Amino acid sequence: MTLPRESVPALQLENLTKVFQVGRASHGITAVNSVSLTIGRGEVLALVGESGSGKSTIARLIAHLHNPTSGKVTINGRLIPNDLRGAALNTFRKDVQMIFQDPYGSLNGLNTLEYILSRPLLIHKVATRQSVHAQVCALLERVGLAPGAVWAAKKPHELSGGQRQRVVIARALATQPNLILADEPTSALDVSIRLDIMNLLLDLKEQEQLSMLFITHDLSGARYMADRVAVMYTGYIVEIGPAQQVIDHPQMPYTQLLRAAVPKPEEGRHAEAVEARGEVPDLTNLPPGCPFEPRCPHARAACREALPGMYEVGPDHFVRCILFDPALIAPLSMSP
Amino acid sequence: MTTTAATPAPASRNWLRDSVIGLMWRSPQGRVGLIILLTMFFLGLFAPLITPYDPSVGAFATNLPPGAGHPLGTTALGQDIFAQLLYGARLTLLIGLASGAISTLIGTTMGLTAAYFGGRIGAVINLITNVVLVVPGLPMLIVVSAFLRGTGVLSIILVIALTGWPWGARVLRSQALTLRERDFVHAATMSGESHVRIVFKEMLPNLAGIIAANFFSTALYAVLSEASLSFLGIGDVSKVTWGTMLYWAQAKQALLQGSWWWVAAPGLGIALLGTAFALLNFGIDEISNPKSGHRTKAPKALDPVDGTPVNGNGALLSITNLNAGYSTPEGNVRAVRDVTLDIAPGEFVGLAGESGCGKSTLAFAATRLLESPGVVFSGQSRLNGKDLLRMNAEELRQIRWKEYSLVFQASMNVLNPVIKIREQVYDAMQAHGVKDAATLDRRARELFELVGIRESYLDAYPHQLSGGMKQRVVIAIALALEPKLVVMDEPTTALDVVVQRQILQEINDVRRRLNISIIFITHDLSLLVEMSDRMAIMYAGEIVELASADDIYMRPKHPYTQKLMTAFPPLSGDRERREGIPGRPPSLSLELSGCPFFDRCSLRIEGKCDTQKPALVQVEVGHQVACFLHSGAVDAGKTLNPDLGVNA
Amino acid sequence: MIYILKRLGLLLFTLWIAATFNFILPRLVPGDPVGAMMARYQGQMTPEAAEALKKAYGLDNLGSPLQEYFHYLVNILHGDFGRSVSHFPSPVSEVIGNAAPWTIGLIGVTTILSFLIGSLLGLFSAWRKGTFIADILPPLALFINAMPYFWFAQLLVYFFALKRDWFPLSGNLDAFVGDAWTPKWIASMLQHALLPGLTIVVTAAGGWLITMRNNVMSVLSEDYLAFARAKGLSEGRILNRYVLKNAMLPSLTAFGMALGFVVGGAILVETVFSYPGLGFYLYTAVNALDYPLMQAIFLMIATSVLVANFIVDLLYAVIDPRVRDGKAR
Repeated sequence: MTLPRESVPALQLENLTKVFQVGRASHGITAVNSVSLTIGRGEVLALVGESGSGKSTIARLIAHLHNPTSGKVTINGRLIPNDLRGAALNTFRKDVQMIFQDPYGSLNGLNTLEYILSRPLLIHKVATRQSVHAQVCALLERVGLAPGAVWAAKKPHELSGGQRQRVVIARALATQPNLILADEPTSALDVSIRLDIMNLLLDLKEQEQLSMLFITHDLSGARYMADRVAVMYTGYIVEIGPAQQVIDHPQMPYTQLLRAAVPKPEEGRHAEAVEARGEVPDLTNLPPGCPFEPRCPHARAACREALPGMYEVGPDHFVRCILFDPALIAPLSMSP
Repeated sequence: MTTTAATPAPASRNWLRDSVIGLMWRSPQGRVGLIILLTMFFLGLFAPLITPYDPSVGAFATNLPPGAGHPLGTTALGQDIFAQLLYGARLTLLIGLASGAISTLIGTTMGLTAAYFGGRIGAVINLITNVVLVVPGLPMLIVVSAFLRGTGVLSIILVIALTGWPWGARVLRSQALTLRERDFVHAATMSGESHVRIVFKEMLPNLAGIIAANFFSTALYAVLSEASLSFLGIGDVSKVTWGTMLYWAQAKQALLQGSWWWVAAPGLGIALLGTAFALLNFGIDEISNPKSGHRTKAPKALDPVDGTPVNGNGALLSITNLNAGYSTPEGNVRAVRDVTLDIAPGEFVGLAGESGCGKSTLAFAATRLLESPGVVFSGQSRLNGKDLLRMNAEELRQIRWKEYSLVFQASMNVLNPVIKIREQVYDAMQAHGVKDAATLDRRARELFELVGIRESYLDAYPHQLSGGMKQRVVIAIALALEPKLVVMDEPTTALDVVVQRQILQEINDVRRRLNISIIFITHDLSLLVEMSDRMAIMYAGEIVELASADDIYMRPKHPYTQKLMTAFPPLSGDRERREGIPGRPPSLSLELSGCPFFDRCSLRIEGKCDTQKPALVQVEVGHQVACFLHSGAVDAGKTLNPDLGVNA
Repeated sequence: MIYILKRLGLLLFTLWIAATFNFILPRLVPGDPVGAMMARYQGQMTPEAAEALKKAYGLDNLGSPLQEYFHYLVNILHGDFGRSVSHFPSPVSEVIGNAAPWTIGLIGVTTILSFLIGSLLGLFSAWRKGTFIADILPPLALFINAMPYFWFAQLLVYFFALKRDWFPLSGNLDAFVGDAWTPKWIASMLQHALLPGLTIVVTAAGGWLITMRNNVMSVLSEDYLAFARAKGLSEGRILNRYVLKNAMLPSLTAFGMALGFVVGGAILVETVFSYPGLGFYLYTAVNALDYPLMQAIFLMIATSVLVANFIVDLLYAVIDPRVRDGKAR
C-alpha cells in the first residue's frame, strides 16, 4: 500500500500534552503525554487504545474543546495557538470537524435535521439564507439519506442509530473541512451497520480528499479503516506505523497483548490463553519508567528507570520499548 | 435495570416535544393541580361577577355565621368573607406566581451559569447557593420584612423571591452539568455556535421540565411564606390576601368568638393552592424523570397448564413456546416470539442478534427476572422439570441463586454502594441456608481466589474497585452456590478487551470444572463464536438459526446469519471491502405474516417469504433454521394471535 | 477528613455571612437607622432605650464603619447583643437564654419525630405501592405539606382547647407548678407541649413522606436491587440493607436543607400557642419593633439550623462510605 502524503501534512502534533487539574490536588492528571504524530493529506490514521488511554482527549485537544497544556498543533502547515479563541477559533473550526461516538447523545432531540444541519452552514457562511435548504438536502443525500427534503423535516427520535450517525457525519461535512476527527464513530452502533458507516467514511474520504483521525478501541476496525495506526497506553503513543504492519505484526508487548485478547474466530475457534497481570495503572499513579512495565512479560530492571524512547523497527514503524533500543539489542541478544 | 435495552424505541424523548402545558396535563396529578389552579385563577378574575360585595368594606353585621346572603359569614369588621376569599385569590396568586417566576429566573440563571462556565465563577455561585440554602428562610424574611414594613406587595414578592431560589439553582446546576457534557453541546461548540446560543437554544429547552417543576415548588414556598408574613402582620395588611385574612382573624380573635369559618376558609384556600402547585411539580417530575415510576415486585406467575409436563430430553433448561415482551401505553410489544430452546447440562449457549432483537428479554423472561413493564405472555420454562413461570414467590426465592444465577450487564451499579462486599457475598449464601460464619468466610475466600481477586477486597466497598474487579466480584457471587445454570447478559461489554479476555478465561475454566450451563448474551459475534458450544441467532424476537458455533460461523444457512458473519472486519488476511446489512429490523409492535427478515433479504422469494412464515426446523443434525431456502416448512397460525392471554 | 473540614468551613462562613447581614441590614434603611426607628416608636421610647439601641448597632462610638463592624463582631462573639427594647433593661442574651431551651426542646424533638414518622410512611408508601393505603398517602401528604403550620395550629386550638377543654390554650406551663423536673412540672410541660408538638409533627411529616417516597422509588429502580432480588434474598433483608440504607442518604440531605424551612414554620406555631420560645419572642419583637432582640433571635435560629445541618453532614459521612473516601458529594 502506498502512503498518500504530500509535502504539507494535514495535521502535525508535536509533544502535545494535556494535564487536567483534579480538585485541589497540586499535581494534575496527565491524560495526554508528549504525543507527536502526523496525518498526511487524504490519509486515515487510527488511534487505538483502551478506555482512559487518552485517545479521545487528543481529538478534543485538536478540536479545541479543551486547550492543550503544551505542545504544538499544526494544521495544513499553519501553527494553531494553544489558547485559540474568538474569531480565529471560528475560522479554525471550519477546517476541523468532529464525529462523535454516541449518535443518541450528539443530536439535540428537540431540533429538526434541517435546523441541525443549517447551523454550521450559516455560521460559516457556506450557505445563504436562500440556499440553505437546498444545501441541507444535498448534504443529507450525500450521506445516503435520500430524498433529502423528506429527511430534513424529521427529528432525531424518528431515526435509527445508523441513520443518526449519518446525520452526524453530514453535520461534520457541512463546513467543508479538510480534517475529520472521528471519535469511535461506530462503537455505539449495531454490528450490522458498523460496516456501512465505515464504508461511508471511506467513500467520503476518497471523494473529498479528507484527512481523518479515526479513534477506536477495535483493532479490526482500525485495520479496516486506516492507512496507519497509532497505539496509545496511559497517555503515551507506544507504537505507530502502517496499519497492517502494526496490527498483524505488533512489536510492542502491549500491542501484542491487545491483539491476543481480541477474539479472532477466523484463526480457529479456541482462543489463545492471554498472559497478563494486573490492570491499566491509575493515571494519578503511573510507574516511573515504562507505563506498561508492571504488566509486561518482558519487563526488566532497565524498564523501571526511565521512559523508553521511540525506536524504529521497520519502515515508518516505531515502538516505545527498550527491547528495540539499538544500544541494548547487541548485549541482550547474547544472553539466553 | 439496564437490561430493558430491548424496549422499543430506546430514545423516546417524545415528551420533550410537547409544550410545558402538555407536560402538566400528561400526568393525573398534574391534571388535578392544573384544574385547581385554573379554577382559583378564574374565581379571582371574575370575582366582581360572582359576588356583589366589596371585600374591604364592612357593611354588614359582624361575625355572622355562614348562611343565606353570606355563604361564609362575615368578619368581626362586618365584611363578607366569601367576597374576601374571591378577591383575595387575586393577590395571593399574584404573589405566588410572581415570586415563583422571579426566583425560578434567578435560580435558573445561577444554576446554568455555574454549570456552563464552571471554574471560579461556578465555585462562587455554588458558595452563595449553599449559604442561602441553609440560612433559615422565614426568620430571615421576617427580619428583612420588618425593616421594609409597610412598603407593599412588591417588596414582599422580591424578598420571597430572593430567599427562594437556591434550591432550584442547585437542582438545575447538577442537571445542566450532565447536559453540558452531552455530545450535542460539544457538537454545537464545534459548529461555532456562540455561548449565548448554546445555553439558550441547545441547553435550556432540554431543561424545560425541571425548570417548570422548580417553578411550582418555589410558588408553593412563596404562597406559604406570604401567608406566614401576613399572619405576623408584616407586609400590607390593608390589602386582601388569604394571608391577611388570617391575620385579621387572629387579630380580632375569631376563634374565641366562635367564627371558625373565618380562619378555616382562607387557610383551606392556601392549602389547596399549595397542593395544586405541589401536584404540578410532582406530575411534571414524574414525566420528565421516568426512572421514578413503574416497577413492581416479582412478575406474577402464569396460570398452570393442563397435563403433566414431560421432560424426557435431558435438558437442564427447557424453554417452550415462550412469548414475552413489554406492555406499553400503545399496546403490547412482543419482543420474544414463540421461542423454543433447550439448554443441555454443561452447555455454553450463545444468544446473538442486533440490539432490540429480544435476546435479553428472552433470557430474563425464561428465568422469571423480567420486571415491569416486561410481561411474560405465555409459554413454559422448565428448569429441571419445574416450570419457573408458574412458581409462587417463595418457591422462586428458594431456587433463585441456588439452581440458577445471573451476571448482569454493566455491573458498575449491580453492587450496593453502601455495604461492604463481604456482606454482599455472604447474603446470597445466607439466604439459602449457609449460616455458619466459618463456612461463609472460607467459601468467600475460595470464590475470590477462583475469579482472581485478592481476599482483602472482601472488606472493601464497591466504589474502591475498578470496573473489571467489580465484574469479577459479581461473577464470584454468581458462582457462590454452584448453580447449574448461569445467565450472563453482556457481562464484559463495558470492559477493556484485555480484562474481558481474562474474565472470559476464568468463566470458561470454572464452568468446565463444575459442569455449569451458561446462557451468554452479547452483541460481539466474534467473541460468541469463540466461546460458545451452540449459538442461537435471534432476529426480531425469533430464533432464526440454531446450531453449533462452528456451523454458524463456517456454514451459516440463514441469509441473516450469513450476512452477520461477514459484517465484522477480520484481524488477518487481505483488507477487502465488506458490506453491512442495509435496512433495519421491523418494529416489534408489528405482527408480521411472513419472514421478519424479508425486507432486508437479498435471497427472498417474493410471494412466499412475505406471506408465509418459515418454521424453525432441523435441516441437518443439530442445525435448525427458519428459512424457505432450506425447508418448505411453514409455521402455521401461531403468530397471528395478537391477544395473547396477558398475565401481568 | 477533608470533607468534614469543608463542611465546617461552610458552617463558619455561613455564620459570618448571617452576622454580617445582620450588621448591614439596619444600615440599608435610608437615613439614620436609629432616628428612623425612634420615629416609628413615636416618642414612646425612653432615652435609655434609645441609647441601648444605638449601642446595639455599634452606632455609639462613632468610629469608621469598619471599626463599627469589628466592634459588632467582637460583641457577638462575647454573646453581647445589646439590650432588648421591649424588655428593657434586660439584655437580649437574657431574654434569649430564657426562651431558647423551650424552642430547642419543642422543635428539636418534634422535627426529628416527624422526620422519622414521615420517612417511615414514605417508605411504606413506596414499598407497598399499588395497595390502597399506600397510594392514598402521597396526595394526602402533598396537602398536609401545603398547609400553613400556624393555620393547622389554630384549628387544633379551636377543636381541642376551645371547643373541648382537653388542652391548655397557651403557654408552656401552668402557673405555680413549682420546681422544674418534678412529676407535676413534667406533666404540665407535656400537656402544654402536646398540641404545638402535634402541629409540627403532622405538618412537617408530609414533606418527609414525599421525599422518602421519591428516594425509595428511585432506589427500587437501581440495578443493585434487581440483583438482590435475583439472589433470592428475603424481603426483610432487601428492605433493611438495600432499600433503606440507600434511600436514607438523600433523605438526610433533604433533612439538612429543609430544616430551615421547618424551623421557620415551627416558630409561627409558637406564636399561635403563645409558647414562650424564640418564635414567640420573635413575633413580639416584630410587633414591638424590638430590633436588637429580633436580630439576635434570627442569628440564634440560624446558628442552630446551621449546627444541625453540620451534624447531618457528619452523619452522612458515617453512613456513606463514598463520602468518607471523598468520592461523592
